[in-house]
Parts: sequence; structure tokens; C-alpha cells
Amino acid sequence: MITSFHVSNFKQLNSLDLTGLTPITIIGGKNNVGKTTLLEALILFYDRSNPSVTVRQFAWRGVTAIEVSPMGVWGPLFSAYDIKQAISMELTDDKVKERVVLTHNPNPRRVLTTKISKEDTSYIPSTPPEALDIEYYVSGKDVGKAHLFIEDDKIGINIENMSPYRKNTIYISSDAKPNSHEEAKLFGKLDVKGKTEELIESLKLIEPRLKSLSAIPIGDSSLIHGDVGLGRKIPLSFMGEGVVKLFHIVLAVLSFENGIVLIDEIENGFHYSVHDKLWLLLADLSTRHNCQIIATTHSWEILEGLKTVTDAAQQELFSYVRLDAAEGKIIPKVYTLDVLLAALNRNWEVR
Amino acid sequence: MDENFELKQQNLLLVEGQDEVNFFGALLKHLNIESVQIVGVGGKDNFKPELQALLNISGFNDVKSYAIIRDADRSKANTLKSIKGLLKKHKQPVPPDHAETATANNLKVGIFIMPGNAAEGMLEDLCLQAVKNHTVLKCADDYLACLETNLETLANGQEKEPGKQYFPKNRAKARMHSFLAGMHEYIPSVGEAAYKKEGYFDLTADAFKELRDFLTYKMGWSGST
Repeated sequence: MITSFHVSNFKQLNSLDLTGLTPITIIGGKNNVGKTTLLEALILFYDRSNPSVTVRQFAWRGVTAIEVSPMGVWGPLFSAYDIKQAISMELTDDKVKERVVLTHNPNPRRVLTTKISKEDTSYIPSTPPEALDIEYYVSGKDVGKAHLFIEDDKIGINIENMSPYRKNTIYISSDAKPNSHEEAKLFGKLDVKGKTEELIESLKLIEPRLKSLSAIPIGDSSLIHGDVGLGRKIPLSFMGEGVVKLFHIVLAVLSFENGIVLIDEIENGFHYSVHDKLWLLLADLSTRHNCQIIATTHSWEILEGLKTVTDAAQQELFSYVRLDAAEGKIIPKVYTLDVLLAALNRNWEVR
Repeated sequence: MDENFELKQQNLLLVEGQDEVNFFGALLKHLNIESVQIVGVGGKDNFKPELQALLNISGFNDVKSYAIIRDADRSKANTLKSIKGLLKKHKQPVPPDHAETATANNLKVGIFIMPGNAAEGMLEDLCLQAVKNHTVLKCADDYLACLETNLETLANGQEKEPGKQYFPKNRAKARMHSFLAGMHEYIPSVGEAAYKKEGYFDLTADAFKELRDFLTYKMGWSGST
């Protein structure tokens, strides 16, 4: 489990030192303070060997077109677009320190894997104009490098000596748009193992009539359908945003045991009357599947839902962090659950 | 619950409950101190989480000084130690002793353990010192003596026997309520009696000198702050 995370020079997080993270950590703070950016930083940390790792965040933020150039693609990652300053992220996961450093490399050297024969004297290796170098360290030891480059309007990646992933990380955006192909693949893997019952039971929090789920082939894809007793199954998205969002969350936890699920604006789609049961469900899932959940929120109501967590052991699972912007820095204010509840009971602003 | 709570001043007086909020409201008014916001923090069991919640409030970084006033209850030394430990844990300035202050990073923090020089007690004890020669208090003490004669005092950890009556758990509160009940105009709490009705407790009395000196000289809060 991640217990601390330090980020420097990543977007508006020019220097953030976060400690006291727990199995379920809720992140609050004003607009544009960096809540979603924090989640993006964690995705960037763990999403290795993926050439689109630096551009997926554009889609999450609704940016549909970017200039395909190093500055257009990578510039936005650096604080104040200053690509001369390296981005550094360091975290402690189960007491192991891991670090990732992203550096703009204006003069990269392409690593060639093809042998050049004596006769092939006309071969002149090309060099990409710029690269983004990503270095990975575990306990101070170099465990791999990736070099992203842009060529022919595409992003390529060279990888050196990369150790296997340590942790699966999945991001659930604030509007939780369905991704039918990915969902069906993950659902199918659960279905094969006979593990969809827990998913169905969880969704009953929002849709008590739900009896079963299936992946139904439609065209070139598959859509998740559910039986709610109407005489025919209906697409999951017909059951409302709350069901879709909860489906994504629970599917992620069940599919990526020992992983991290990042949820942006967790309150979206959930009526206040289910907030308390939602937290209890997440506490149970997090514990049984050893899955860390980090979620952002703007909502007082969703935080009030935590009042229902009265079991001492479950209370230890939760923490709340409000990010405050002050004098050019982002200062985290950490609340254990008892402190958060004390503030909520006094109606002291925590968001 | 505090409706629309916000930090309005850069100087804070953190007290235990509503009685203390009312009493210190009267005392600060008597001292012409206007730039201090009184905040009830903690009650009996919530001081630790509520203090941290207050330190986390957005805007707390602008606070220049705050004083913590807590009842000694059974042990002044233990109460002081507990508060100092909490301040240290949250990287706040730690005053060395009761009625003292400490300053670090432009923030001054003070601690006062009620009732002051005495080792044990609470706000009620301090206020009753100010009326120690009052006729009504003499009658109230006679009443308490009668209760003490006729009721068993429950020891710490002792189980109550069903149907049996016991001496009031909190002697100071019982004494204070008996005093207030004997006054011509009944006001049910010490805080309201100080705040609503000027003159119930003479705030110039010697009993309150140590407290006055702490607020004005040690904390540096005066009519011109």
C-alpha cells in the first residue's frame, strides 16, 4: 500500500509532499488545486512500457486534439511548461521506496538493435529530434528506462532493461464513460473464474432489482447487459450513471487485486442516500482484495456518508487529504477519520 | 454544530464548551479585548480530534496567536502534559508551563489550566472563589453538606446499586448550580450568568487576576490589540 507520495514539477504540483495515505484515501481541495493531477501522476508512475502513457490524460480531460510535437505532447506535463526541469515522483509502497524521473532529452541517441554489415555502407541511422526519458528506480536501484519519441506523427517507445510491473493501476474518470471493449474483457475474465456474483451483489446497492449480468456481443464489440426483471436484459448504461460508475469501480477492484483504483469525483452518479453504504462497500472490497482506493471529491455529502463507519478497524482504513494552494506551493492537510468526523460534526469546512 | 463557522480573527481563544464561550466572552468584553475569536473546542473527549481539525481549517495559517484554556479536572499536571504532547505532535509552539506562552514561526501559543493556581478544578471553582463570601454561597454550601451527610459518595470504579442515591458526581458544578439557583434571577449556567448578567461574578476580583494577566500580558491581547 502506498503510504507516501512526493511529486515535483508535474503540472501544478510543483512540490507536493503527501504522507499518511491509507487504504482508502479521499482527496479534496478547491478547483484546479491538483486533485485530478495527483491521480494522473500515480497513473504515470505505474503505467510503464506504454507509449500513450503521457497522452491518455488528455482524453480524460476532454482534450480531443493536440499538437503532435514534443512541446505539444509533453510540455503540459511540466510545471509552467518548463521542460528543462525534470519531473520527479517518489513513493513508499509497503515500505519500499520507488522513484520515477521524467526528463526532456533534446539530444537522444536511438538504441539500435539491428546489426550493420560491412557491405551496408549506405545505412545512416536516423535520430529522433527529441525524447522524453523516463527512469525507474526501486530502493535506489535502476530498474529500467523508457524513451518516448515522436516520429511520423506517432509516439514510439524504446525500453531498456525494464523490470516487470509491480502494481496494476486503473483510473476511473469523473463521468465514468463506458468502455465496452475493455469492460467486456475484464468482465469475461471474472465470468470465466465464476466471480461475477460479488459484482452483482455490489451493484444491488444502486439497483436492487439486478439479478444477473452478461456480456452480449453487439457488432464488433460486447456490451454488458443486466437483468432487472423486465423480461429482457438491458445495457448497463440504461440503468443510470450510478450503476455504471459503481460497476467500473467494483470491476476494477475485483480484476486488479493488490492494485490501486483511482476514482475522480467519486460522488458523481450517487444519490446521498447511498453514500454511507458506498463507503462500507468500498471498505469491505479494499480489505478483502487488498486494493488501495484513492478518490477525489468536492462533496460535503459524500464525506458525511463516512459517519456510518463506526467499526474501529474500518475507521483505520480511511483518511482525507485537502490540498491547499499557498504561496506557490500545494500544502496537504491530512485528516484521520476521527478528525474528519470531528470537523464534520462541528460543521467546520474541510473541502 | 457551528452554523457557517469561519475564522474571523487572527487571535483565537480555545475553550472547552458553551459555558466557557459565554464566560470568556464576558471577560474579554470586560478587558476591552475585541480582536480575539472564542472557539469552543473539544468538550471532554473530543479535544484531540477537534484541535487537529481546527489546525487544518483553511485560513489557520493566518492565525498569529491562540490560547488553550482547559479544566484541570483531577490533575493539572496530567492535563498540561496532555496538551503539550498534542501541540508537539502537530508541530505547534509548546509553552513550557501553565500560564506561559511559546512563539515559533510568527505564531504564539499559550496554555492556561483552570482554575489557575489550584491544582484541581474547573471554571466553576474559579468563579466560586470570586463569590466566596456571598450569602447565597454559604447557603449553597450548607445544602451540599446536607447532601454529603445523607448520600454515599461513589468511589472511582465503584458500581452503582439500583435505587440508591449518590452525592453529585461533579462537586464544583453542583455547588455552582446551587449558588445560581439561590440568586434572585435564575440563570442556569455559569457562562450565561457571567455573560448575560453583569455583576454576578465580579470580573475585577482577585480570583480572576491570574487569568486576566495571562490574557493581557502573556498573550499580549489588550484593548488596543
